[in-house]
Amino acid sequence: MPTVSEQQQIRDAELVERASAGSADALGALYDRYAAGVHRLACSLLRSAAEAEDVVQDVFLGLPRALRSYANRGPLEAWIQRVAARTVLMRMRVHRRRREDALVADAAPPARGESPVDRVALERALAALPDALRVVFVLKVVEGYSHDEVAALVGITPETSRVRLFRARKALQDLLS
Amino acid sequence: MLRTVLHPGFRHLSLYADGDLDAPARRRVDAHLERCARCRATVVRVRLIDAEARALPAAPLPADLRARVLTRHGAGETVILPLADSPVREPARRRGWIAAAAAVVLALVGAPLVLPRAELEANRSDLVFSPAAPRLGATVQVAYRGGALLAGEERLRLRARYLAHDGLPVNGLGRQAVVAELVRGRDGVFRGAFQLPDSVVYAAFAVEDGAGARVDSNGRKLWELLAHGPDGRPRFEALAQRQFDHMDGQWEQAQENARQAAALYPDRVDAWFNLFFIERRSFTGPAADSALARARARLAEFDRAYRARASLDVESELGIVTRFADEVGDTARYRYWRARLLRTAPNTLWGVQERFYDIARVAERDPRAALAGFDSLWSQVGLGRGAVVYLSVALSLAESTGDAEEIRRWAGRYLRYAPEDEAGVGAALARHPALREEGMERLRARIRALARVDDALRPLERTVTEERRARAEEAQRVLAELGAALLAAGRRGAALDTLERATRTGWDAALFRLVAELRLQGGDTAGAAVPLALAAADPLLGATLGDSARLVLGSRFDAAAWRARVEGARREMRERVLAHATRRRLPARVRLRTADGRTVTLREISGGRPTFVAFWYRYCPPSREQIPQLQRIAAALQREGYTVITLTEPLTPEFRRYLGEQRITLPIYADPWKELEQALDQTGTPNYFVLDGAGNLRFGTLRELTAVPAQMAALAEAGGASASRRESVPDRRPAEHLEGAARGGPREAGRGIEVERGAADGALGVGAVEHHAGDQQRAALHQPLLVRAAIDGDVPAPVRQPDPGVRKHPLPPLRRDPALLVERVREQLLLLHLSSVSG
Repeated sequence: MPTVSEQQQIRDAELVERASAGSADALGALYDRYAAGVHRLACSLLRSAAEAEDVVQDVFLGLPRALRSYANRGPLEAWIQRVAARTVLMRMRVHRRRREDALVADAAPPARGESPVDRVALERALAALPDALRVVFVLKVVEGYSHDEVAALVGITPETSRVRLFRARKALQDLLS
Repeated sequence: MLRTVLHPGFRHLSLYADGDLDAPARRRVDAHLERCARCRATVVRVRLIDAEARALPAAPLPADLRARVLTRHGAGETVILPLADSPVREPARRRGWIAAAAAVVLALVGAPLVLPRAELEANRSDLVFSPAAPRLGATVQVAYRGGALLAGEERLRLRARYLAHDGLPVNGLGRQAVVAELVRGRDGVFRGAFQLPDSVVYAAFAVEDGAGARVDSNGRKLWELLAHGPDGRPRFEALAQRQFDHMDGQWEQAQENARQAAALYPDRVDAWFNLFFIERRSFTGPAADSALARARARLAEFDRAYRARASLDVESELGIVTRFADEVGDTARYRYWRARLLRTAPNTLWGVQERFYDIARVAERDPRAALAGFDSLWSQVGLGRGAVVYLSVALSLAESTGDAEEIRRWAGRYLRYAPEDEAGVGAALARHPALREEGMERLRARIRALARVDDALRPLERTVTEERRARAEEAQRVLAELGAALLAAGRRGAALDTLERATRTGWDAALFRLVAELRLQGGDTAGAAVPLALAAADPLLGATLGDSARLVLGSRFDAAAWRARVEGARREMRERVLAHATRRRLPARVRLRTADGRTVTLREISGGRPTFVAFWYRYCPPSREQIPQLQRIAAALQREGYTVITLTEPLTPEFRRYLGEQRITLPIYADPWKELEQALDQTGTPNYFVLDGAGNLRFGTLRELTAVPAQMAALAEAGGASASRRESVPDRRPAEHLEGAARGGPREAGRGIEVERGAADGALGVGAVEHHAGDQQRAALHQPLLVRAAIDGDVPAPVRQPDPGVRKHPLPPLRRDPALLVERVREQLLLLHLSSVSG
């Protein structure tokens, strides 16, 4: 009897096949499974709800065609997440981003002094980071990619990834102190 | 290399926190951390921030997104996704042109093909300054790309509000002016140029057509220009002026601006003082405590540094550090700096201010002595830039003494600095029997002045028509004030005549009731019926009046007849209120997010009903003050079946807690795509909008709530009862004399006043009024009407003298409360400081 994860893979493989053939049902099922993850990743990278939503749409509209090159390379979720990360990064490069779309309003007051790291303040600080630093911080710390993986995704060397992580942390500490 | 005797760098601690150091390096850091609490704390903090970042809640996935994706998929849309990882970008010098070209190609291939989306921004325009960071006195080129609003024009005007570093008056007089003409080029771009006056550090701009009929105010945000210093930073004075400018309605931006100034100019005490100034007025609870703690720490640093110095700049250092010490409540330091200021610079703005406080402190005990003190200060040094503030304080104090001569003297001095406050001064004078005639003369003068549209006073974002309307509304309030003064003078006939005039346009339920009362007191029940029906038709006041409105009229109306009368008055309300409405179609797709994360459209929420939209923010003092009123009105509107939408900060757990503690039950939505904000040209808080059931903006950019219930009711009326429009107009057509007066210039307005004078002389007036004195029964019935209205919190208490409305008085009236004087003058002078920091 297949294990739960094997079942999942079987089901994924079936969905991949049907979705890449253009089935709306299969795409809907993939959306139900993976859209939340894509959205979360896009939100934390972009700090903009509107842009994150656009990314989710782009990823799932592009998925049927993109899945043709998936070829069961590793778990589907990780693959989709990487595609989503690349989509976000491309978006950052192509579009000049508008700051005022940030998820957290700039106007949110610094409500410090309650917990050691105030959530509102942290969101503000993350939003205030330059894209290049935030991307590395989010991919490495929040998403758990290794520096090698981050480097490959972003198009930098692993050493640059380390430097950016340290700069991001330094900036966050400064912004939060 | 890393040495344990020194602290490891942050980079090593960061690597350490990740477990990313090699074994020897890790051991060295381990050993160091054993002994060093500071570095231990740094590592803990790195990990804490990491953990918090991982735990940040994700925004909920919009519920309708799946359907949108599948619809677009069904329509055959596709997006090409980047599947390959990005090429590593080597430093440019090591990269050949082939590699560079390959990177470009890859980037292009990899870019998602973004499909065109319907843009909300058809009407957006753009104004570009060159240079964008001008020096003082620079010549600035302007390129304006117009939106739909100003299409078809060949020439446009660039209007500006200039703020100088050397202290223009606080009252905002005469700051607006046309600074350039913009001429359309072949490419459709309007170009022009202007020279920034040497003294101007901050300017705000709007573009309009030659007649001021259409104004592009950049969505009410205006365009801004800050003078920059040789080092490329915006000048400190420019930031201070911008903060001051934004404190008038855009409090959040003002806060942000103060933070920016402090970050750019950490060595300036006035930067920190200005920041604390606004934080202290914005925050409550723990945020306020930490702001105070920060400010005290800063003060201590500056205090130490400044004490060591023999000479200090009065305007930017000595005066500020004195004020700063007082503001943070550090009495010992305040005493030291105050003494030093008075010793070395007694006749400067700051020195005079301290001396003024000294005098003001005795005002409560002995107002006459305080006035004598002011008088002597005035004759010795004049009052410089602070004059308008000091003089308004002195005038209020004079009023509290009741001494006619003192009042007249200080009123004259004050008006020289604040001529636009003539109505306020007139009303104050008119309250005093000996000065009543003079007061009334000033009220009439103000009404005449309001008949003109003065471009120097017209705010940048206002069209000439809007300005005319605003001035007509103010004229009406002054007319009511004049009526009250006539009443106080015992000239009942003229008073009634004048007050009736004030009730002929617009919608002021309290004024309707006052006129009704006067008619009733004069025994004229027939005459009272009309204004009383109007008062009863008002959604707020009407509810509190109930049937007592009918009963005070005696047996004239049975319930059915009165209902019909009020129905007619309601239709009149509709006409009067909607006469001032705009009608702007909002975009079809305006999405909002509910508190539980669903995405809904504005249409869905409003459900075809008149809709009230409120933008509020708890850290904006003017907005915070209105929250209780907003709650009451929103609840009343919801009870009536209207839709209420409010927008504020994100619903964090902390904010939800705050809402619970404050028992705030407003329906809160989020506007994450800024679609509503853009559709309404929303900026700043508080800000209120009224939409009709068809999705049009009808009343917008309201900073006050009082008119909202009548506006909503008028829209509901218009939606329901448009067929019977003709018959609805009551016996008296809504007069337009004030607007007519404004159009026709001073002469026409003067005529209105002459009627009132004529009435006083008995030549004209209320001949038709029946004067049945003292009908006991009616008087008894009249009582509950007043009492019931008076105890209701929602409605202004019955007034003998109508509310003067919005006063331009720089100080709140101090009439009976000199105890608050010191606090208020401090407030005003700090504002003055912001408006005039030295360069």
